[in-house]
Amino acid sequence: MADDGVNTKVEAVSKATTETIELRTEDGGVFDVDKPVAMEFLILKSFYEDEGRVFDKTSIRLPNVKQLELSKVIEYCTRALEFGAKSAAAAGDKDAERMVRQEREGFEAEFVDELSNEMLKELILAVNFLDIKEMLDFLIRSVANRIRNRSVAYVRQFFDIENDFTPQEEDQIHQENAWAFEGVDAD
Amino acid sequence: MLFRKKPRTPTTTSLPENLDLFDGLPDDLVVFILCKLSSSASSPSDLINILFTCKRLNRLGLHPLVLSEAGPKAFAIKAKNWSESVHRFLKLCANAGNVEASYTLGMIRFYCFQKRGSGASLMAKAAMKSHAPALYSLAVIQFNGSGGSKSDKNLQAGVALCARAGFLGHVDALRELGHCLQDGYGARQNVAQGRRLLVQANARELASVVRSRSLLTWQRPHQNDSFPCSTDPCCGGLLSDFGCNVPAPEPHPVNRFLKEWFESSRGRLDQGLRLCSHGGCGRVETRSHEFRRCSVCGKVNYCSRGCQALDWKLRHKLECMPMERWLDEVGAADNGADGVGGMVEVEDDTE
Repeated sequence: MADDGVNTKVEAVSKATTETIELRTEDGGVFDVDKPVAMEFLILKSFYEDEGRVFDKTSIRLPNVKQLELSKVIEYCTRALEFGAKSAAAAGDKDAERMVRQEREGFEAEFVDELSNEMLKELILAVNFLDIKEMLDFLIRSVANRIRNRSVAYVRQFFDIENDFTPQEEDQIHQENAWAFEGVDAD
Repeated sequence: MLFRKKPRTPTTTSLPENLDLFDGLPDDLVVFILCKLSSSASSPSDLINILFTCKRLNRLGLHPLVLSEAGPKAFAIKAKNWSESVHRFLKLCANAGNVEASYTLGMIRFYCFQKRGSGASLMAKAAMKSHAPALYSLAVIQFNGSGGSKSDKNLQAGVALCARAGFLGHVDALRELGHCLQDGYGARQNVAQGRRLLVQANARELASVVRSRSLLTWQRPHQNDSFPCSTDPCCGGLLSDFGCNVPAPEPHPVNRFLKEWFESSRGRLDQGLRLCSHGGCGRVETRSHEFRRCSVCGKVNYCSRGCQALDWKLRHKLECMPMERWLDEVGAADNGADGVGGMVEVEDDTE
């Protein structure tokens, strides 16, 4: 995925360095996004490729995405493309590759730390809609990290779910699965 | 990484305003999240926890995709917790295509419940998906003729399986193969090649330990002096020949299970059948005198040369005392490549 970004970036540089697309979110935000970044959104990419449109400065409406999410998405994708370019440039040099990777991991950790649980969920929905595979994978990994090793109550609260089991059903599940919990402290 | 077809939300619809965000997440995404969770689970409870939350997660948590992604530590069950439900869970995961579950269940059925046929076939299922520990376990079974009589030993099959496992990087299999080639056991004798394999096994072990401990600097070797084994049974490995006192790699959870099982009252060993004396193994004999014993002291016995070599380094060399004559052939034999060489011979009981 990053490779695609690099290639399109190189392409873009040779054609027109400042091609941007205007994206409008449903709550009125307007963003001018560089072409390579916008092409990471597969939903846009297929839209342009299918229709065979020329890159005029049309504005695209994104009905399922809000301002805050889109800005975060753009931030992530821009940095991801940069990292992609850096690691392509560093290819072959193990140390440089490791450095780029560490930088990237640092950025990702920071990025996700700032997000509240709510924000994380909204982002996942937005990214799913825009169809950005790499970012989706990253966000989902982050959610998994957050709910790993947590108590049942925490997971319920995180996802905002109601316990829809009857007491008898709960008991039954408990019996079925008690073996997994021997010797585990409640989180 | 798996990418399933994601539902394309058509651009015209938009989510209703006050939707419960969990409901808003399509099943595909939830399964995705659960897959990531299960593949990095460090204990069974990580995964099972999810089943308690609500009906939807209960259903999705048992989705075959999620189960098939479960990592090895999700099956790190304690022997005392074993029950029909555990059995059912393992079966479910094995049916979903989880290789670790197949292997784990296979080992448990074969050794703990003496269900040789179904155990071996589960292991074979894992082995066909190139699961190195399964290939190695099957090799040990072939070498020993486990589950059958002495004449059921198939050395060539054992060597072939070891070769496959070794090719995948399994350290014990490489060692076993190295010894087989050195001794011409199950394959044409080729001492040089055997030696090379033993060195390669050591190198791989070192590499994997260094990789997993890259955060810790080499503090442990300096702290340990000449008797690392007395304080920590996991120290030493076979690299102590090189002066590298790195801890032995972690045993597979199912080996721990087997050991716990047979050491507790749940696993009854009939007629004096013995446990492999290597602590990290846990395998038991399936007929009397199946395993080979140390020819020096005769007090310990091993299921395979790999276990023998490891146990020698971990603890046996400190306690092994020759019954009769002094080992003067020992001095020259060990030149560091494998550390065991001809030092401790293992022989079949003739009964």
